[in-house]
Amino acid sequence: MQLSRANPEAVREAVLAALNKDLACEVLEDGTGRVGCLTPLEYPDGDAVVIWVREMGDKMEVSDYGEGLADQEFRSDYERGIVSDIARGAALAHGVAVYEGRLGTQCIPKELGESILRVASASAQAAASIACQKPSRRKESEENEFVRLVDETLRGRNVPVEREHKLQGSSGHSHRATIYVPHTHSILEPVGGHWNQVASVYTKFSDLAPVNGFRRYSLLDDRQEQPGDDVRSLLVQVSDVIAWSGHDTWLSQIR
Amino acid sequence: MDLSQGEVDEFMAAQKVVPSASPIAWESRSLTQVIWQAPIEIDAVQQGTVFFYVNPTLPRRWSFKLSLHRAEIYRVDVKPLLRHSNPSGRPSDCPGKVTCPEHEHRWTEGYGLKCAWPLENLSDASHQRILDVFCKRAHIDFRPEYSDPASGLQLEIG
Repeated sequence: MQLSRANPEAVREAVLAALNKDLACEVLEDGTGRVGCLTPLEYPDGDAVVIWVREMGDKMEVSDYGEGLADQEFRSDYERGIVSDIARGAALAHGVAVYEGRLGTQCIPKELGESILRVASASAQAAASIACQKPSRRKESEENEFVRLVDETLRGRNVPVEREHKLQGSSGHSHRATIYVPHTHSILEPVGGHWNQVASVYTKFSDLAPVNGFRRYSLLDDRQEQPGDDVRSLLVQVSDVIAWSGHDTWLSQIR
Repeated sequence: MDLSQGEVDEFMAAQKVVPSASPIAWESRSLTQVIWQAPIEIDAVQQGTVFFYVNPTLPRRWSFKLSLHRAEIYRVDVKPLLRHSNPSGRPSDCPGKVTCPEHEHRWTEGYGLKCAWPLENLSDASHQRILDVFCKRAHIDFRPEYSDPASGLQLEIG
């Protein structure tokens, strides 16, 4: 067939052939009778969007079974709220519903094809829109006292340290490393768990991360209680995370 | 914080540990999302996390992920129905398409986790067996007591 702008039928058939190549349906082998439909749409990681179809009386349930929102590992309740907003936006844009993390709809059989494409589009859009987020808070602590303890312990182990060492971040902003080990260019930021401090360390390390040569450590004060998983989850994105209770082990790395 | 292939290869090759000795405590976030995550350490320094995901509404739908700081660098997926398209310009040993339900995503410079490879001979493997494969391939000493994500969960597809 001749392919040209003057031949819309040829263009249509070329598109259909491309879609057809990437379309496949299979019965799920778990006895539920559900059918999985591999669509030509893809999630950001390159996996095809799969939409599942189930008969419900005279209607069909069409769902992504939550696969569009599956990737939410570092998310607090606040962040999950944002993800829910993204999902609702994608659902609204494609005329489908979102429930318990699933994007889907119900339809009569003659609307099945269109419904599958709408749910697949919403699922792919939601997955592509999900962005990174931030965690929650913890108790106020004696931050200065912890910094002093770290400082004195390092000096007591013959690790030369500098306090409030000035460093320039990638933005051009001037930061102060709370504890700096010049020999290994290590920056230690003691973290007591108070959210403002956690956020401040995160910002500082985010700006210093693109600057070559510095080793960045978030040092968690776990003398009385473990900081929350959300604190670790946030800080590990921009630094190595060490706990005070393990200083006998990690001290050799930074001296 | 852009990663280099050298940094990722070094982290992958290093002997890592998930130190907690308590059992895996699965958290059900929704009907379709049951998760568990834990810090991963090298010599008492936490450098990343492991994150496991199970979708109880589908049979054998599991993910096991390893992150270095904020970047996901390795993932083993099991999906009941799969077609994965690898990008052009991929590594020479990386196939164009992957349809094997059990497969791995390896971080590749310029592509992140978009490149996938099949994992052969695991078609009947249990969740625990796949976890073992993930830990072995990523050099992880996994110390928490294993707990089956299906225990205590009820399949609900309605």
